[in-house]
Amino acid sequence: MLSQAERRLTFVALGVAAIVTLYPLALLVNTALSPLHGTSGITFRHPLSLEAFGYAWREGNFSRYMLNTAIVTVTVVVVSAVLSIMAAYAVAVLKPPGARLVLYVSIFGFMLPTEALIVPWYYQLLPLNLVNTYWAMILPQIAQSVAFGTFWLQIAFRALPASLSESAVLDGASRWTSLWRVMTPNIAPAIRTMVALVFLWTWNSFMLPLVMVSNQSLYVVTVGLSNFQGSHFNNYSALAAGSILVALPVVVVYFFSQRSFISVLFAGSVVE
Amino acid sequence: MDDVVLTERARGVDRERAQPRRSRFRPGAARRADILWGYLLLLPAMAFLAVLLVEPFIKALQYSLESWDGIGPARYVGFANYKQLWTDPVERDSLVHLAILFCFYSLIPTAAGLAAAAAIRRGSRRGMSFFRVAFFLPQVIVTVVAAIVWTWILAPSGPATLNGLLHALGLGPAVGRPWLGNFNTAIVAVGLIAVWLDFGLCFVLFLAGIQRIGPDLYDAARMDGAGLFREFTSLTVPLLRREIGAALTISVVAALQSFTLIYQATDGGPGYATMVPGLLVYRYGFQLGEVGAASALGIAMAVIIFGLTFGIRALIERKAT
Repeated sequence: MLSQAERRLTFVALGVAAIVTLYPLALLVNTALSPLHGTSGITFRHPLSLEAFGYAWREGNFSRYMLNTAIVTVTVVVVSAVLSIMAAYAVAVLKPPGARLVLYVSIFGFMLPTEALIVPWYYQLLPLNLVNTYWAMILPQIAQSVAFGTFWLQIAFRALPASLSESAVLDGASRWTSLWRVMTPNIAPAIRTMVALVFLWTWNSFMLPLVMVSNQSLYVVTVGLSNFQGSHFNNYSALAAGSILVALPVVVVYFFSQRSFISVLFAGSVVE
Repeated sequence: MDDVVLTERARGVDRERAQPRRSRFRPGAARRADILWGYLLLLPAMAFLAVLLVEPFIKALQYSLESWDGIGPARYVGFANYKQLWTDPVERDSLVHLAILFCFYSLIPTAAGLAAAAAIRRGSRRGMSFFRVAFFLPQVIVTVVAAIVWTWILAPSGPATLNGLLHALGLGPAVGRPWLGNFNTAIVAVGLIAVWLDFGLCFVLFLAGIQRIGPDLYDAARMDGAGLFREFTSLTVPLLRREIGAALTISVVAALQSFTLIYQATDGGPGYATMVPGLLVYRYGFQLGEVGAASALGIAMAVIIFGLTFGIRALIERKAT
């Protein structure tokens, strides 16, 4: 049997680790609740106030940044999910000659780091007058997400029994109807995982929007926050409030889909 | 990927066998419809992959052999941009920093996560769901936000800072320093943020794995007289092989893509003390007009990702046999 001492030691060690993990987040929340211009630095005790959130939302322009991020994220998630479902169904079920090649290209494509592609992306989109538009943040992000989604969803399609699609087709349904009515509902968990991951990636993406957009009215939350930090570096309460506005949507999604997020972990290393 | 290819072949055989049954209804026509629909459904995804992944990758290879400022004419320079990876001190140091960050992003969280998961298996399950949710939270905090709050904690002075804590413990003068502003400690300070980011990911992965193993094997090992250390090395680690592989792969990729954290926390400074390849790509490509050097670094990063991913995979597979 385990000794009482060992059990206690484990619990204390985990407790310390939890404090270290949560301290930065607690500091963020506490600072965001302090009054604007109330103090010169970060303090633990202060009167509580929500005015920093209002300041960040209006004067800090975070309302605009949130809208931009929402436009980019929703477009990327919806388009890449639809295109990935279609491509994965073709690769896994219909198997036209050469479909394997698409699979290999998508594996290769989603392993490529943004850093390797960012320079050519810029010089591709510049002559098309797409730099400094939403498209410059959306299109490359869709490409990376489709590369991942095609690989991830074809595994799910492959796991379905072959009879499922064949019987649907034999019943006279077109392949299009069979895909959306019969096949897609059956891989809903894999699609949810993909959507959660693409949402997280796109909301968090920084390098792509930083490079592609210099017009402030098109800033997404990450670039907007970074820029706000540069101009308001000692307005701690406003900076903390802005940070919470930026981080909260992802945290909320996390709390509502913890299970998906755990399988996302494995999804991130699918080559494994 | 081999598994995928194998199942694919197995399924292929399956389908051929099933073919005659089906062709009684519509010989050839069904297959032709499959092919037609297959290409139609692939088309949009293929367009994105070809235009925004394959083409730019080939472009990056081409740029990496050129000297180009982004505006004027480009000049072919062979492998000069690649040679610069180790002849230019800033580029070479950025690769050294990357190696250091691999330890903080990957090795330390993996080791700590394994130890924590093993300890929990032996201890009580009290508060387990709390620890799981808490430790994983940094993974879902937007990176720019994490960088901002950590620059506050690692600031030279103040009640909420690490130095403030050290001061309260009476260690201020001996240990305290401006962690991110000091040439010697900056890279380690960034590394500590990385440990904070990745520990929970490893922990959650390993905890799920260890719960899958179940207590029977551990009971058997204890009957055979295996001690704590023995139990860890010959039971926990080998049985968590897949999870360890996943944790290493994800965290190594995260280390390579440390651009956001570094840009926001230190911007590569002080001097070049925390410069990493990702930030150099940005500087060369979009501030200094050295498109060739930026592309060569980007390609080098892709090669490192592919090398490490397949290396880790090979290591895990070999241990399996």
